[in-house]
Amino acid sequence: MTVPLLAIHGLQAAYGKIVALKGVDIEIKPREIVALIGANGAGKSTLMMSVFGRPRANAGRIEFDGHDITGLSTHEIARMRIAQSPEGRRIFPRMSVAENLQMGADATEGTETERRDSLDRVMALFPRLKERLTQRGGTLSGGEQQMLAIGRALMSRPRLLMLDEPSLGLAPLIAKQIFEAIRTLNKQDGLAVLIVEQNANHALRLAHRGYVLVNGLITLSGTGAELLQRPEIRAAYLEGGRH
Amino acid sequence: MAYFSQQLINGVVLGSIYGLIAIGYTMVYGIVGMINFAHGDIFMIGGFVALITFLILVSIGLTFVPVILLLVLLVAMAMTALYGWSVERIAYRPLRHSFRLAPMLSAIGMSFALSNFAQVAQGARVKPVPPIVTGGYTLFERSGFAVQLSNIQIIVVITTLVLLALFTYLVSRTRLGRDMRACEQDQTMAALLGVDVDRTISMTFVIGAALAAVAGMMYLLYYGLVDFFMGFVAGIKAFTAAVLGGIGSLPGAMLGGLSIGLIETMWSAYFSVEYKDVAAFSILIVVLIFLPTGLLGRPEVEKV
Repeated sequence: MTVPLLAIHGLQAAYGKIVALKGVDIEIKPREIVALIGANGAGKSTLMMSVFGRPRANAGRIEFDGHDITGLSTHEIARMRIAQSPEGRRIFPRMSVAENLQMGADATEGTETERRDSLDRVMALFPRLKERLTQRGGTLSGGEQQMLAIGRALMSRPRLLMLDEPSLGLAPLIAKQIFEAIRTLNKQDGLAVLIVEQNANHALRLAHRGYVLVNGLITLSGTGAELLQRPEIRAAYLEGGRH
Repeated sequence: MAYFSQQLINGVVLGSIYGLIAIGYTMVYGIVGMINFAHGDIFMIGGFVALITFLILVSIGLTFVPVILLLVLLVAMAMTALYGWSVERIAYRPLRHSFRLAPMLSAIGMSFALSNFAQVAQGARVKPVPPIVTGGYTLFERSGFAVQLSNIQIIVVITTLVLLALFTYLVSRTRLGRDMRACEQDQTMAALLGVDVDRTISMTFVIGAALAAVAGMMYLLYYGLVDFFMGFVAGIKAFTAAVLGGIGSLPGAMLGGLSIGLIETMWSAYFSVEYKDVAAFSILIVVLIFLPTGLLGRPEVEKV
């Protein structure tokens, strides 16, 4: 039994008076890809953000690598090498692509060589960004912004990567490339990944395990293959939603 | 032509001082979206700290002017930066997640508090200093009018240029500058990338106050006096400069400062001194009618 990399126990969180998470338990082990699926408004993005304390947990406990991080401030949590490519991408529109990537690298301590290695890796993953390094983030297309958001997260050489809808707004071919890239990073570097996807089919095929979030509660969990077979999952998240 | 050249020189010098103050307004607006109405009074505090430091240095027997100026500059920047930092901690940070107008009202209160503090602590009278930097050059003479460039004018302009170069480097090339721009564009995302947002905002206030302190010292040297009320008018002018240049834009603040300085000087020279403020503010109104975001401001539309 390995110590989980991220362990969330009984997490409750709210935006003002609207309760978004009503006691969520999930675990991500080292070297594991975990998918989180659920309908719009189920609380998937809130769950990812509340790991960073935004919103802060009203109850429950969040542990990263055995340390309680529930009460830490957002930047302290980020510096523990948890990276997120958040909902809406949130790239810095008035910074160049290179500066956006540098912001990612700044998130963790590292040598110049490590920074250059990460940059090379991101450039190899998304050659499109290489042509755009001096361009301002806000002038990129939606798909390029998505690549930049993921690239920026990777620049911090994370131990846990959280991806919120990485395929949103991307051409199917590019989405496929991104899923391939995640698989490679996981296999080669043992990167742990938490992925939120509308496209449950892709996400569950990629993931080792998955959780289903409904109205702020986890209703089902299992391996990716198991969940793909469940009739209620097929009905709710797969049929009709497939590309 | 000679008369015009002289006014040009005077205008650029005055504009440099406005520009240095305006940078503080525009930086704070960019990062926390509020107008720091106490910033003019921070400038006034800078002038007073410079005056006091100058008197102390002279009274302990220092006579070499360049050393005095350098020490006064450093002390004024450091002390005033401390004021800027404290104002943010005491009056703005506790209100950061309150309703939008709260920090603005707090800023107006802080402005009164600072100017009254100076009045009580230093007295209400105008404080003159003997000329510290004297001399200058006659550039040329035509039809009986001599165009003068004084040493103090040279110092003001060169100091402003050096500070602007340093400041531009800081904002565009350093980690702190990048963090400041990140906070300006998306504070939540900046925090997700390990940026300590509170500290970055503090540093913004510190840098803005240090630049205002330099402006305060230059004002003291140039006009030879300070008083507790000088922050109000200078603050309003510099704020106007920031809006004219496009609030949130750093080159805009400097351009706006120069414009206001030149407008004021030219109007005083060719029309009437009494109406110089009317002229400056009228130009602002005209510019804002045709360019609502100011000269270098960016439109609010952003691709998402």
